[in-house]
Amino acid sequence: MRSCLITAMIVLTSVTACPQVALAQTGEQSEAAKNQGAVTPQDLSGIWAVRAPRGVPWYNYALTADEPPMTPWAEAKFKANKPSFGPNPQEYPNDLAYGCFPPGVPRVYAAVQAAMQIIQVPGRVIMIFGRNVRQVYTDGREHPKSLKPLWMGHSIGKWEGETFVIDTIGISDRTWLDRMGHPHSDALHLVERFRRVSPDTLNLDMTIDDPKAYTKTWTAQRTFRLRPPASGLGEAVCEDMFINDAFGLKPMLPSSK
Amino acid sequence: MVFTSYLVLLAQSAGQPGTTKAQNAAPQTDLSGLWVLDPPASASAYSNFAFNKEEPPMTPWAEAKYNAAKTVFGPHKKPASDSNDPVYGCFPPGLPRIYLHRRPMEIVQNSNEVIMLFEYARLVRQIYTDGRPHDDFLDPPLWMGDSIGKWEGDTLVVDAIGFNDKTWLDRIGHPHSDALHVVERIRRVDHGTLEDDITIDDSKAYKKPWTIQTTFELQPGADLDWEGVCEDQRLRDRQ
Repeated sequence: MRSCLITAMIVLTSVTACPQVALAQTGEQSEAAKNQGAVTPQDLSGIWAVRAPRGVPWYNYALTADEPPMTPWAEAKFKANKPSFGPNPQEYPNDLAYGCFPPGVPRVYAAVQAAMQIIQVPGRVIMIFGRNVRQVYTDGREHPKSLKPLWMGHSIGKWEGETFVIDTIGISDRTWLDRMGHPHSDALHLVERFRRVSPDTLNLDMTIDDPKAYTKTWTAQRTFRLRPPASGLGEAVCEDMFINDAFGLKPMLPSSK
Repeated sequence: MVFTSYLVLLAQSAGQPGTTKAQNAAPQTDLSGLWVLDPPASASAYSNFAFNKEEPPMTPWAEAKYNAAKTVFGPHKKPASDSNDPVYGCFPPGLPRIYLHRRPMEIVQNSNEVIMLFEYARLVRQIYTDGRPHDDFLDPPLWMGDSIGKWEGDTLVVDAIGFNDKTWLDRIGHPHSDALHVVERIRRVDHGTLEDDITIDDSKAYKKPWTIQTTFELQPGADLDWEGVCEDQRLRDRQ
């Protein structure tokens, strides 16, 4: 159960929830919360899995049901992107995540098996998405003035009452916003608002602001369910899919950038 | 509850810079910080690719695998293009080899686990300290193994099994089997120093268990760099 090879191969965003765990869990929702004792709204720590409604396919490849309002620049990039997921999957994808590159944010949320572990330490909230670790600085610092592109961006966070607000810039434009290939530019500004509405429920509202790629700011939502601590995060090693007679232990790279 | 224990731990550590030995009444159980392997100068002839100067006691099975390893380091090194070192295929280095790469490892912990965040290969190792047994479903086996830990006074004793046999124990190709059992005894001997005594027990590959002594140095103020992606390097190599 801990080794989620199949999940890793299907999901390919380094997202790691084992499907068995996610399914088994729905009937015993508050178990996890009970095991963790009393929690306060300003404690986000734990392992969280996306709650994906049944029969809503876009949850597994998009952030929203509606098409986001692309600029012509983004339309052209979107057409050139060849995803493995979504309404128009390609046989020869150029999805970098298929070459085991980091998925970026907010793409980490665009999968039914999306899961994350949140750890809070003084000055930082650490978010672990499989092998992708995000550090959200809560020590009051600003974004650096000059920033080279980062796979998961540069994130600063602050509490507004019971809502944890993460502000992220500097996300490499090599990543996609979702698994169906919606692009973003280096001007992407992502704001995530996390709120623990009950001990075992975490709500996320995200705002995507990227005037180069989208004609207006748009939003997306996700809800997460707390998983029991005993479930672990699994070992999602994307490279496992390269182990076969043809490749040996060699990386398989996407067909083009 | 979880968060509270954090605060307690950190409050403790803040008040005791380098004075652990004087506080034996309250064992030091805070390993958090950014650490890098710090081998002694006397080991400089081999510390870049092996833990010990002495050859570990290989079985014939292990000898054959060792001789088949095409390494990029050490006495029998070959060009990287001819290597069959799994890390050159972007695979995780396994344990204890990952320490040898001498890249920062951050330890964070809460009441359930101690987590090692390895900058090298961008790996997250969860060491469960909540009393759970090893996962009884380790098929397929894991690159970094299944790790559980318990505190014995100020020492975190980590027991790891469930490894696949694809990784090397070091950078010169000492092999292991899927029977590998790694026990680590990790102790913060002072604020800036971590010691890890590692026992390698693998009866298929080694005639007897053998040990490795390592020391890590705290890197105050440093930040993990999670941007190095092996596949990206391979892509650049190809272009």
